[in-house]
Amino acid sequence: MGWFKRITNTFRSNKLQRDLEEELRHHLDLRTADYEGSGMTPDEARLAATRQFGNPTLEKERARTMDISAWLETLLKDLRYAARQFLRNPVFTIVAVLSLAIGIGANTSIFSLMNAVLLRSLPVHDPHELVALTDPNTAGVSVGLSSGERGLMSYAEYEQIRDHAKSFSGLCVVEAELDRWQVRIHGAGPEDARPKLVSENYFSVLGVEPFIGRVFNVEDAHAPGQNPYVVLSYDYWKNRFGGNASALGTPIRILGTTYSVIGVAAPGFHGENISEYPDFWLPMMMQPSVMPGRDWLREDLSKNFEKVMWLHAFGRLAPGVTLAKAQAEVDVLFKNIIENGYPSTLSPETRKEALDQKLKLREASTGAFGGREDFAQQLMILLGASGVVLLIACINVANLLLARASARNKEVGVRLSIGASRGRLVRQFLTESLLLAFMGGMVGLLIAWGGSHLFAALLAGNRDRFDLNTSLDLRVLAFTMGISLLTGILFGLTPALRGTRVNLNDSLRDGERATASSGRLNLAKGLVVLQMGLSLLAITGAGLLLRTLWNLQAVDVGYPKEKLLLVGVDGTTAGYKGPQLTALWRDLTARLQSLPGVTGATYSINGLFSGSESADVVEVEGFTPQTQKDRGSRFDLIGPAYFSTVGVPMLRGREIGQQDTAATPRVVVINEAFAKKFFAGRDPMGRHITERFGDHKAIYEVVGVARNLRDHNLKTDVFPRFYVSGEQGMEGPNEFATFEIRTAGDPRQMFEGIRKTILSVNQDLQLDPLRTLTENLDRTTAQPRMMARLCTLFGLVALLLAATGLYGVLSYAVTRRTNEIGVRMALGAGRGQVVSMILRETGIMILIGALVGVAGSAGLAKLIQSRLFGLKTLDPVTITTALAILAFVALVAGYIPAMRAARVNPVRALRHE
Amino acid sequence: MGKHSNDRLQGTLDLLVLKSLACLGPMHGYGISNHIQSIAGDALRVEEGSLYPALHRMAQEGWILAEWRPSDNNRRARYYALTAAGKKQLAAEQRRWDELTHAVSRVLSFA
Repeated sequence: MGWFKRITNTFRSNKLQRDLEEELRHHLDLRTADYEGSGMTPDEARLAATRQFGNPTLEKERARTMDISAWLETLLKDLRYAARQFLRNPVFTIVAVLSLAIGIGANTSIFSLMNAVLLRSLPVHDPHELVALTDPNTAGVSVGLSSGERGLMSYAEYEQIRDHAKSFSGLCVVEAELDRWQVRIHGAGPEDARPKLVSENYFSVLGVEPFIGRVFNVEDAHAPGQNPYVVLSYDYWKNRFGGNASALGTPIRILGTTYSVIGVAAPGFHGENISEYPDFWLPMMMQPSVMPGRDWLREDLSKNFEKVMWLHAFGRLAPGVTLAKAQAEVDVLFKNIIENGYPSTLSPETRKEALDQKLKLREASTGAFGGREDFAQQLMILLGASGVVLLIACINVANLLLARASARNKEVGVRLSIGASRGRLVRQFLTESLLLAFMGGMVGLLIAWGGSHLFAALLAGNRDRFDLNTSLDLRVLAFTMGISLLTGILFGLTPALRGTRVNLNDSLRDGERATASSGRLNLAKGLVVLQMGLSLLAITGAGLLLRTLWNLQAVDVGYPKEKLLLVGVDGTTAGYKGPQLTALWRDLTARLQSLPGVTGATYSINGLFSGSESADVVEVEGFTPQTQKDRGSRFDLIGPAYFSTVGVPMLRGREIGQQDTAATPRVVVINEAFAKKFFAGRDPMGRHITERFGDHKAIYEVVGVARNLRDHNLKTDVFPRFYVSGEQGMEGPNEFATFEIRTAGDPRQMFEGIRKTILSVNQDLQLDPLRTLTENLDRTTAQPRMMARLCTLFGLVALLLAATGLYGVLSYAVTRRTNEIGVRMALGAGRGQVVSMILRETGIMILIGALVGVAGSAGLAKLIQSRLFGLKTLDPVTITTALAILAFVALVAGYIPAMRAARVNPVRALRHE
Repeated sequence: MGKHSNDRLQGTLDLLVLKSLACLGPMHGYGISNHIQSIAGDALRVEEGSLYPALHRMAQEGWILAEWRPSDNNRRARYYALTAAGKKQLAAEQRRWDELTHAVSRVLSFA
């Protein structure tokens, strides 16, 4: 009967019952009347009629077996029966539940991360109305000439769109980066805090209410520097201010400006970025105050071709406006902004490139998260790996159930012979497996609870602080329930169908052997082969990622990695300008060099493996560019003795030295890659390179060629790069410098001394956290490392589960074949022969499994190719190692049952017969 | 849970009920049971109570349609009528029955 009817039956249950009773009574009354008519007394007639009718209650019951109440009752009975079965076999139950829990727990953990990153909506008003005009999956600050789809936006561009767009009921902007600043709260000593600049309508556009006090409003957008207010995040207010309402009005001092606390945002709200937790928010108007020397608010759009793109823009669609409609309006507006946004003096080529810019609107209910796509891709790989683990666990449980089904052959036979239908028994079996799966899911949830935090922390990679809300919400619970149900059916159905296909005559006859065991064994072996294949897949995947990591770590950067430390110093924020900056860098370099324990110190703009990069258009004497790519090169602005300090030999000429100042002719050092690309065999020495950026240009004479060094990435070929003295840069002296400091001993011991030395020049200098080069390199390889670790973990679990499965099936096979082995031994087979017989079977299973696994691995390697480095698609070393590990583990798992088989006592085995 | 084609006894009762309804037209349970008994006599003893689960089930299957109507003695009675599906089912059951009895009689008459 269909579900629908069953349910309507429940609703009509009372009426159904009354109808049935009336019908039966009608029948009885007529029959009684009949008998009375034929001469019986009323009592006799009633009795006879009743006798002829049979048992009305029983009949009523039978007529109602289709009712849902009965269905539920059967379910409860099945559950009780299943629970009793489990209690009777605690080992079986624990093994099965744990295998499933590991599989389900791993999957749920990964899914809860996916949920946090891709699915969960921001805790704001109607998150589905939110659209991002920038790319919420990027982060940072981008300065220069952009092209193509815009990741970020400048403030002037925002103002234009905000003032003219009609598609939005509100449009706000927010800094696309969260930095750590030094603040003084209520006159206390300096402490670190993470503030974020937001436009004054940020809270109203997102629909976030104040918890206490007020949030920003139009009043907070008077003029740059005129609105020194902050709104605290709820968490910061609780942690730093003890949740005290008197926090309102507290003065917070940042870089010479005192701000006053005006409110606390609603609990649960931590901004538009799902992985960032700002401590408080400042009005956008305060930007020039917190970044002295850099006014990013006032920008003459038509004069400056170099845009400071540092904002994310979020809008709320006006009622009735679709994303497409808003996109069309923004397209027109932005085209206009861009056309008027670049000086007419630009070269036609540059202008064409500049005009090729576009804002792409996207649904933004899930908020911003830098590197979301890459992160999601990693999660997909991990979900695949944990899926393999779950599948292997399922197969294990299926095999356990199959073995148990054989043991229950007689029980099934008895139940069938006394009238149970096969469907009823299948249902009983499925109830048991679903109960197992459900218990596995429950324990799995516990694992996921801890696992998701662990995975989130591991996957944080090179992010400084990475908090994802991985809490197990309804969606995650639904996912867990879903996969539990699915796994329950997946591993339960075959044993249920097999276990109830019983030949009554055989099963009821005495004796253990008369069961359909060979069919069961073949199925079990097939499943084990599949497990072998899957675990090979898992360990190959882990192996490929491990080798990738090792290859990355073994990359030669071109200079010694040890005993080198880096620290970024910002001169502009502390108020230095023009020649003062030049003096500052000279002073700092000299002071650092003279520190005891320091063997050399220099600086560059971009540092080494610090995530900053510069590039410009170049014209090289005697070189004719063929494509657009030939027109540009990366560059760095460096201090004196950069190459000798870092440890890179010069191949030709000299390096940049102290003599190269603003007063002397401009010179340049190029790297090998630059020489190869632009000079291709010609002698570069003494040739000229013109650097262009918009209207600016500078001409340098080549004075040296340095050996290639890796400064920002380990994977690709070294890019052509030219190095200019920091004092001869096209844009004037460096505003910022990353010092590279060589130490005699452990650089970590020098951190404090170096920090003090730098601050002794000026307390207001803003320092980036000090790091050693090896730390920076570790951060570069953090994600591949974590992927390798997690996949290795999954691979090991998969291998362990598969080995358990193999062991179980072989043990079972040996028990089943005790008689056969006894006969063989009685006929003269030695122990060695018995062992090799069992191991041969194991070998065949491994072999087939390996073939399946290798075929699968080829597909896998192609899927994760973009994450591999320095490996052929199907790396023979990895495959061979994986095969060897699999074979070893499988043989160990097979050896124990084989030894047990060899210890079979022929006499006892035959007597058993 | 499937049809009961392998369950001879139940199938037989179904067949008898369907056939009776085909002969009688719409009829209540009592009438059906009387009809079967009057024709088969003592040779075929049907426990009357088991008729109703069968009717209930056949109604669920859509072979017959149940409807409350006033009966001859001024009481309400549930009348059952054959549906198109029921007619088809009757033909099928009858064919199966014929095959079975043929087979049995062939075996029995094999000397």
